[in-house]
Order: sequence, then C-alpha cells, then structure tokens
Amino acid sequence: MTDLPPSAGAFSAQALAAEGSPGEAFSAAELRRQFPALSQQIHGHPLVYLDNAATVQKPECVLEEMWRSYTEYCANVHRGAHTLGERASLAYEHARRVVQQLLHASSPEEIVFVGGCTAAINLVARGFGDRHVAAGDEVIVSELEHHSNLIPWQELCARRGARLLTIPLDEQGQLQMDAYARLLGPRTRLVAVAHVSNALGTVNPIREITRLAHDAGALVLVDGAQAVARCPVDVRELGSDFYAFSGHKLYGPFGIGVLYARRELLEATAPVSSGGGMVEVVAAEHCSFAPVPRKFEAGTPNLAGAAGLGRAIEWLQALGLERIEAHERELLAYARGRLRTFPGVRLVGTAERALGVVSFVLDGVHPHDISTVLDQGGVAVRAGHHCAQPVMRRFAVPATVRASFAAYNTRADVDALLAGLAQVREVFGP
Amino acid sequence: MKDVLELYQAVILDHHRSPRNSGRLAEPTHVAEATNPLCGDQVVVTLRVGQPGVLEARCDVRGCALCRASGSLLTELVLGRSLAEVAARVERFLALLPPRPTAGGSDLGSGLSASGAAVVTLEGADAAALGSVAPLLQVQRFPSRVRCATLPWEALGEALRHGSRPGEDSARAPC
Repeated sequence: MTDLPPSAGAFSAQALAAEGSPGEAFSAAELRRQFPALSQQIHGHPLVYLDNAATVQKPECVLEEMWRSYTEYCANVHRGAHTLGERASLAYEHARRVVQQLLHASSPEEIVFVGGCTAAINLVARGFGDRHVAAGDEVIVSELEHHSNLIPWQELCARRGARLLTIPLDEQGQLQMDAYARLLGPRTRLVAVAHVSNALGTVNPIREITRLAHDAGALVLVDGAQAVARCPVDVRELGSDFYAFSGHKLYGPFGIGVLYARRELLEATAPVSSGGGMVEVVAAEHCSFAPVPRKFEAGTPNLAGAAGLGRAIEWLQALGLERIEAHERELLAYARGRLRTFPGVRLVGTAERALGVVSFVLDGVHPHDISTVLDQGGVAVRAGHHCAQPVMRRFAVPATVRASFAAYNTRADVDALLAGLAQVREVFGP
Repeated sequence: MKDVLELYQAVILDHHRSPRNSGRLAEPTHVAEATNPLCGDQVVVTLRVGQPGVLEARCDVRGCALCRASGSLLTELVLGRSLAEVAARVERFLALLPPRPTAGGSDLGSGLSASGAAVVTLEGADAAALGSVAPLLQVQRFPSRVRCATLPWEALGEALRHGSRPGEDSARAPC
C-alpha cells in the first residue's frame, strides 16, 4: 500500500483561506460564504467544488426565495383571485421580466418557462422544426454539442427526412468556420450550436455564426446552458433566433429553464404540451390557444423554480456578469497553466476563447480513477464523456477529467486539484 | 485516503498494470460484450470451452483500473472450471455487488458515498469460491464505481447465456 505524505490529507484546506488572489475581479472567497453547500466537509476535507458545468451550487438568497414561494405566496399562478394567488402570479411574471432583462429580449412575451435547457431545445425541434423543416432540408449542428443539442435534431431529421450536417472541430476544439460556411446552403433551415462548450469550454463565435446563417436564410438556436452564468448575453446583439438555458446552471433551482425566441418565431411554433392554462376559449371539441408565451406553459407553472431563478439572476446581476467573466477567464488561464506543468497531463480543448471549463487526461490513469482519488480529498470534478461523445471521438479519448468553475472558485481550488493529482500519482505510480 | 488505498490495493493495481489473459480469442466458443454507456467502458469476454470446462478465457477491457483488474481476476478465476461452476460464481459475485437503485444504472459523480460502511466479507462457500477476487468487493464503499467492477462479470454472464452469439449492449445511452 502506498504511503502518503503527511500533509496530503489536508490538501484542500487552503481553499477556504484564500482571500482575493491576484487578478481577481472580486473576492470569491468572500462570496462562498453565501453558499451553504460549500461549507461541507467531504471525507474529512473541505469541499472543493469544481463540477459547476454539471450544476452550480445555490446561494442562500435563492433558497430563501424558494422557501418564501412555499410559505408566503404558495398558490396556483394565474388562477386564484385571492391574495396568495395574486402574489404568486406577480412573482412568476416578475421572474419572466428578470429573465428578459438578463437576455436583453425585446419583451417578456419572448420568454417561455420550461423544465430545463433540454426541454427548451425539444420544444423548438418539435414545435418549430416539425412545422418548418421539410424533407430534403438541412439542419446544422457542431461536433462539440452536448447530446441535448444533438439528439433532438437527429430525431427531427429522422421524422422529417431532413439531413443533419456537422461543423467539424479543429485540433484546439474550435469550430472550423470555413467548413461551416461551406455547409450553409439554400436548404439550411436551422443551425443549432452551443454558446460555450460543456466539454471543452470553447466559446463559439455566435455573432459570426448567426450572420452567416442569416445570409443563407437559416435560423439559429443557441444552447446557452454554459454561458448565461459566465458572461453577459444579449440575444439581439448575438443575432440568436432561439436561446435556451437551464436555471440550475445559473445558481438557480432544478426543474426550471428558459426558451427565448423572437415573438414571430414563437407564434410560428406549435405547443408540444397542451391542457390547462394555455388556452383562451374551450368548447367541447376545439379550443383557441392563449397568446405567447402562455400557450407553451400548459399545466401548473413551476412557481418555486421561476421565483428562485429570478432571484438567482438578480443576485448574479448585482455581482456583475462582466466581473464574473473576468474572474472565470483568469481562473481558467491559471488552471490551464498549472495543469500544463503537471507531468503526463494533456489538455483536451485549448481554444483561445474559452470559459469556465478545462478538460484533460493523465497518462496511464483513467479519468474515473482520478475522480475517485480526488473525491477522497474533497475535490469534486466530473469524469466521463460529459454527454458529448462526438467530442471524445474527435480527440480519440474515451473520457476526460473536467474541472469547471463558478464565481465562488479561487486559485486555491485549482491548487487543491493539482495537489489531488499529485495524490493520484502517489496511488498509481509514475 | 484510507478507503481509496483499500480500493486500489496492491493486487488490484498489479492486475491493472499487467492484466492476465488480456485480449480476445480468435476462435471462441463463447463471446459477449458489455458496455457502460455512462462512461464508455467496454468489455469483451471470449471463452474456449471444451472438456472438462473453460480451456481458455480472455478479457479485452477498455476502461478504468477497476474494470481492467476485475476482468483480469475474472479470467484467472474461471480457467479450468465447468460452465456450471462459472455461472454460479458470476451469479454470486453480481449478487454481492448489486447496482445502485437508480433507473439508469450507476453514474460517475461523487454522489452519496457509502464510505465508512463495512464491506461485506466473504464467508464459508463464498470465501472458497470467490476468495481470489475478494479485493474487488472494496468497491462497495464507492457506489458510483460498482459497475466498473461488475462489467466484465456481466459480459461473462451474457457469454454463458448466449454462447458464441455476440451479446447486445447492456444498456442504452441515457444522456
């Protein structure tokens, strides 16, 4: 059995002690006190949470808002004429306006609440794609998509007899834009791309993507799951026709997500779920749908989810998305630099424009084994294919270790990751 | 680190670094593949069975240290045994390491860990039948990793059930 150095057991302790490391836009160490989950001990070590691309921990204010939704305004949205019902409806629609401001959408009617980013993309694939994509048409995705922005398009193309085309990646994990330009054509109906890659951290050139697509007469859906909590997003400036994201990756609750689309596109989209709350006049055999966005929100809305999401966005904006972006850029550069010096580490994805995510492999040790050893020291990372199997194939690896950051992470967290890797070497040998 | 060092104890690391009976037989009588779609681990088990039982066994693993060690230990365990003896051991091993109670099988995150819980120790008939693979049972403390250890055994079970017909993938990709 391998003997470990005496200091190794506490390799993450410094994480909580770091106050304002150099270049930080704000004190992440200060910030983390607002997150109850981050004060836990894992296997006797302070938690170093570096799995933020999977989900982000929630600040106290978000949890409190959800608590309030169940204790002060627990009622069915848009149904009750009583006081609690009024409060619930106000809170729900307030959250919609907060999302509108976050995305710089033209009106709150362009914001649809859904179950999550996957549900939002499926709504577009079914509700819009089934109506407007015909046999022989083309849909373009990229090689770096999360399965949630790939499978719905595969299914759509199978249903409609359309062709699915893929923008290839270069060696650094960036979209090959010249290849993209060649894929666009008169039959292109939709382009679906991630804003930020969940597996590689690559930031895609969305403005350029939408400009080229629009020139070709195609629409663009942007999967913003990894972007909205990491940088300012202006859907009009980006030229994104559809924009989808999840609440839980934005410091908000699970079970709530958002689809933004320009109003005329929402009006041209069919609801995929029908029932109460999405109709105006109902006769025995037919009905008329409510106007957007309510025609997409059948059933009792997720009040706690919307309220928590709204609060999370307000919290995020008070902190400043520009500052968060600067902080995460600095942290990513630091992490890449330190990982590059670790013997046997190979970074997977080295795009110049990247945010929030660093993926890597270590010679001779499988990512799962790395993750298990890191966890024993309190360091939480993701090991696997990150629901992006085409990316793994592109880089000829079965899986990677992924460390992903949030506003509350510090350089000390990266140091803890590196100390954990040294322990991996202790266990598995050179 | 105590748990993790018990998981990756010397015998496991030895079989991970130098897997026995690695690869595939050219003309097997029994073959099956198992994959874990959550992580991409892939195992192919090939056997040549005759009299008095398993004459040759190979395990081809694309996966983590636990999966490689498990496949290696498995091949050593089955050599020379009758199919009935092998089937009984596979069934017992898989019963000792039941999958996590989730709809989609095991995951790789560091979820609620059973760390600190006692690992079931082999007694009586189990100790005699499975003693050589006992180190694998440490994985009970790491619920998210159980399937890494059981995957080769699932493949072997498939091979026994279906003979030389290649097995189906063990599950569909859930994400």
